[in-house]
This record gives sequence, C-alpha cells and structure tokens, in this order.
Amino acid sequence: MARTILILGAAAPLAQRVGRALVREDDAVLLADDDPAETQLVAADLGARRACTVETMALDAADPARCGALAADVLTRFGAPDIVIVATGVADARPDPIAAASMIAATASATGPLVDAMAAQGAGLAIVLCSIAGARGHATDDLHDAGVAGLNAYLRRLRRRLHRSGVRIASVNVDAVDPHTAIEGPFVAGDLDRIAEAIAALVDTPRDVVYFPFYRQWAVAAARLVPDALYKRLPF
Amino acid sequence: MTDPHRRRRARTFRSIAAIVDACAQDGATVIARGAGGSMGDAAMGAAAMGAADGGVLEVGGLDRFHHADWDAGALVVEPGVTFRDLFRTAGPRGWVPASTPRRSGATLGGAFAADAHGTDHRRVGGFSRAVAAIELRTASGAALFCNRDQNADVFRATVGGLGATGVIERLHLRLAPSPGGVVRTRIAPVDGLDRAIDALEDQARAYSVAYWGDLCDAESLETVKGALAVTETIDDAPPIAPDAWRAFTAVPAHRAAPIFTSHTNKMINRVYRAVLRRAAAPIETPLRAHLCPWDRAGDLRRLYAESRIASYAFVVPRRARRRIWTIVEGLQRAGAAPYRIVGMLMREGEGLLSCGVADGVGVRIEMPSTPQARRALDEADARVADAGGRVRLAEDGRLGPTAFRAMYGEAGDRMDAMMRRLDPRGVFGSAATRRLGLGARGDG
Repeated sequence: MARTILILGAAAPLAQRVGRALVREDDAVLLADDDPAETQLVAADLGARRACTVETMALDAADPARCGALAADVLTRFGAPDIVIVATGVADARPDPIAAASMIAATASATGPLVDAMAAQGAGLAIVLCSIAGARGHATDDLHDAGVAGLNAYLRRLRRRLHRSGVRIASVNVDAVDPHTAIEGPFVAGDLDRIAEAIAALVDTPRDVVYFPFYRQWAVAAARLVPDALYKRLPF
Repeated sequence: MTDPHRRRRARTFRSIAAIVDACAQDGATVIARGAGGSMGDAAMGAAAMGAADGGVLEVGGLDRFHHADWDAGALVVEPGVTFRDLFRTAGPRGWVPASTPRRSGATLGGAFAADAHGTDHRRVGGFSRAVAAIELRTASGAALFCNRDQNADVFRATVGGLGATGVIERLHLRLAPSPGGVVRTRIAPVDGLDRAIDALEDQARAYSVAYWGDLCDAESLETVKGALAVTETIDDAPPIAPDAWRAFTAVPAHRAAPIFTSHTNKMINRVYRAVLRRAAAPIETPLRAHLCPWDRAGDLRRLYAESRIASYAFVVPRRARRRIWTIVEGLQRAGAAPYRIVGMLMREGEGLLSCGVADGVGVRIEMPSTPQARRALDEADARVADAGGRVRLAEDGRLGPTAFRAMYGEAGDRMDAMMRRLDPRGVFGSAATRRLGLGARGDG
C-alpha cells in the first residue's frame, strides 16, 4: 500500500539515508528543508532510486511559526501522513540559546499538529532523530544539551499522550558518527547507511527509544543513576 | 598551526567549489577521496610526501542519484555512490556496471580515477568503459563536461588519473545487462606459468577468468602449481536481490596478521592449492562473492601492513610473459621469495595512466615486505619497463619518477602537461602524484 512520508530536515546526511532505506516504490514523499537546492537533489535521488512521487517544500527550522504553517499546509494538501521523520538540526551543536530553544519549539510546532492528525485517523509513526547529548549534560555544551534534553522530555510527553491513539513516537539517539566513514564492528555506531536501515526497520518493530550504538542506552541509564552531588564533580 | 594532513569534507557541490577556491588562495594541495580504499598512496594527501599543506577532500558523502533511465540503464550519479549501492539499486532492475572492483565499498568516482577493474578486463576493460561522461570541477573553479568527444583529452587524463585533474562531481553511467544473481565457476589445475597464461588465453571469452599460482614451492617456470578459475553466466540465474548487496560487518582479518610468516604462508598456499585443485564440479556462487570477494576481509591495507606482506601489481604484453618469471627469480635471489601470484588477461587501458596494455597479462605477486624485496622491486621496475609493461599506479606506493617515465613514456608526459595546463598552481595533488613527479608541485 502506498504511504505518505514526510521528512523534515530532508537534506541532513542521516535523513537522506533514512529516506532511501524507508521509501518504497509508489510512496508519496514530501521533503522539507531550509536548503532548497539540496532538497531538490535529495528529491531527484529518491525519485531516481525508487520511482516514487516526491514533492519539496521550504522549511525554516529556526522559526516555530513557519514550522507550524508548514504542518498546516501539509495537512491541507495531503492529509495526515503515514510516517513523519524529523531531522531538524538536532545534531548541530551550537552554543546559541535561541537555537537551543527553537529546537524544541520548532519540532513541537511542526510535529504536534501532524501527530494529532495521525491520531485522528488512528495510525501513524513519527521518528525524531535526536542525540545522546541530553541524557545528563556534558561539561562543555550546556545549551545544546539542554535543548536536546527538552526535546526528549517533549517526546516522552507526546508518547504518553498518544499512547492509545495508534500513533507511535520513536526517538532515535545517535552518538557522534562520522557521516562518510564506514566504521565497522559491534561497538561503534557504524556507517550512516546501516543506522538508516535500522531506523527504517522501526516501521515494523515498535520501539520508543533506540540508541546507536546500542550499548549507549546502558551508559545513559548509568549516568542517570549518578546523584547530582557526585555528577557535578565529574570532569566530562 | 595548520594540520598538513587536514581532511576537508564536501557535503554539497557548493562546498567543493568553495574548498577548491580556498585551497588555491592558501596555496594548499588537496586530493579528492571517496572510500579511501586505494592499496597505494593515491588517496593520501601530498603531506604524506612532505608537502606543507597537503590533505584530502572527502567526497564520499556526495552519494546521490541525479537521474535514472531504467529502460536504457543510463544513470547520472554523484562520485560517492558505492558499487554496493549501485548493485542494490540497479541490480534488481537488471543493470550492473560492466566492470567492478574487488570491493563493493569502493566509490564510483574513486574507481574511475583508479580505472579499477575486475578479473574480466580482457573482455570488458576497466570501470571507465561504463562511464559515458563526467562533470569535473577543475582548479580554476570551472565545471567541465568531458566525454570521448567533448574535452576528450581531459576525459582520458581523468580515467585512471589518480584524481589529479580535478574533482569529479557527476558520472554519466551506461550500465550493462545483469548476468543474474548467481554465476558458475569451474576450477582446473594448471602447472607451469607459461601453460597458465595459455590457458587464460584459451578461456578469454568466458565471463571472467583468473589464475592463482603457488610460488613458495616453485623452483622454475615449469614448477609453478596453481589453478585456473573460469566463470560463466547461468541462463536461468535468479535476478540480483537487493539484500545480497547489504552492508555487513567485515571480518577483522588484520587481527590474524601475526600468523602470516613465510612458513605459514607456505602452508596456507598448500592447503588453498589442494582445495582448488580438488574442486571437481562447477561451483555456483552469488555474483557478489565472485565480483567482490574482498568485501568480508575488512581493512585489506591494514592486513597487508600488519602481516608485512607486500604486493607488486603490474601488466606486461603477453609476448613478454617470460619476464614475469624473471621478476620472481630476482625476488628469490634477493632473499624475498614471493608467496603467490594472481594473473588475468588485460587489454589496453582507456586513460593516459590506465594500467592495461594491448594483449597484456596483469599480475600481482605477493612477497614479504623487506628491504631486500624493495631493492629487488627496483630492478623489477626496469624489467617491466623494458618489456613495455606498466606498474599499476593505483596499487603502488613505491615507484619513483624515473621508473614511472620509463614505463608510461609519452603518456606520462602528456599527463604532466595536462595537469600543469588545468592546474598551474598545483591545487590538486596526492602523495602519489608528488612521488611520481607529476604536475606543478610534483617536483616538490
């Protein structure tokens, strides 16, 4: 059955590869990014590989109001999508309070109306590409980590609210990975293609939170158990 | 202070132009790199040969398809698309590249710049034969469209040109019909190097044919024992399945490096020889296992380096095939007796620096990596040049400028002139071009 797939931040390296792994022939794909030239190339790529219909849209991930308008436009023109991939700048570590705040606001503005529409139709999947940065906060990048932590809190809330609606919210926490180097072995995040394939598999495998590499979930769980009185003394 | 080995990463075409421009302004030298799997130093920055600022420009992230005509097998793709990706996407639709390197993780741009090939070189030539045109970003910032009619001299210089003419931004491919997902291989024992080369010639029409020979036990040309692998397509072969070309975790073969000594190499050869020579019935193998047998071997460069095995890859005209044994004898006399030999038939290459010669025999000899071997290989270079042959540049990190000129002759001069014309300031260069004395900064 043909699906409607929306990818926000479609020109990001990981989002491009998730699109390739996820999209099937006859799917209708909507790509939105703030770089129109790159979005056109990503659209050409998916169209050439999968013989699917691809439309591109302009996205300003720094402006929550315009993100909300984009979501409304999608709903008006195409209805509720079956799958939404959100890759809007979470991986960009910028020591900028506005960027950190807009990370949550923009994602919420775009994702909120879409998942509500999915809930109304009783099915859907939103995959949000996140990072492990917000687990406890590093010593060096306060604002970015706070933004990611806030985003994760928003996703947890969303997941809880939509629990019985048939809509799944998956957050994907990826450790720093060299996007162009294939690092092999069980204890590294792996190359982007393999991560993308694992993310695409979330369509058939219901999971709320996934980590790449997988063992990071244990490191994050351990970090959360450390009391603040001790954690503040740690050097990282 | 600037890192002389700096890695610059291009995520977009705009960033390629910006990086090339910045390098020209800063007097830096850079070489485009895809997967970085070259066995020689062609994908290493010039800093490895002493340049003050000679890094690499990574273009592996540029891996998109721009256009596809699946009825004609015509594609326009970016240089970072890998063979694995190409087989996964085009294979199920009945199209494959006519020639494939032995690792599917290689990028198409890298394969074009190395004029990479498989064991079917005599029949189909190198990978460049599958490329109808390229779009090249030169040092001046200009984008050149090159094919066999338009800017044909630049096209020929870029085929096998080690990335020295510029950065390939797009390749226009013409794919060949797929042979199916499975091929059939017959293995036959062959004794004697001369007889092996005759046998290769007898099977020249096969889908691919290759020879493996044991040199550890060989005392003369006639006593080299080996086997010929002749691969044919199967009429009712199943189509290529995308899953057959998935990425998989490679075996970290370099961990086994300590076991490769001269004694164990001898034993390994004997076992391998026995297995090959006892294979009576034809074997059906997946196409990937046939075309890209090194996919599971992990980091081959690391395996060779850590196991202290050197390889010497060259091609000589078939009429001068006795030189191959002369080179083996030279290594044996020098105390660096080679372990094994792999051979195939080759045709004339399309590029100025392509390794093929007309009616040629391509050979790779593996030996211990010792100072004696290196000295003996200097003598071997002279023998290869004298026979009208060429050392394969994409797999070499040792050849000097004099031996290079002796082998590549006028083609080397034309390549040098082309590099100076396209890139008078020497923006593009690698450890290999610097070592070979090519281009504006080739003389250091």
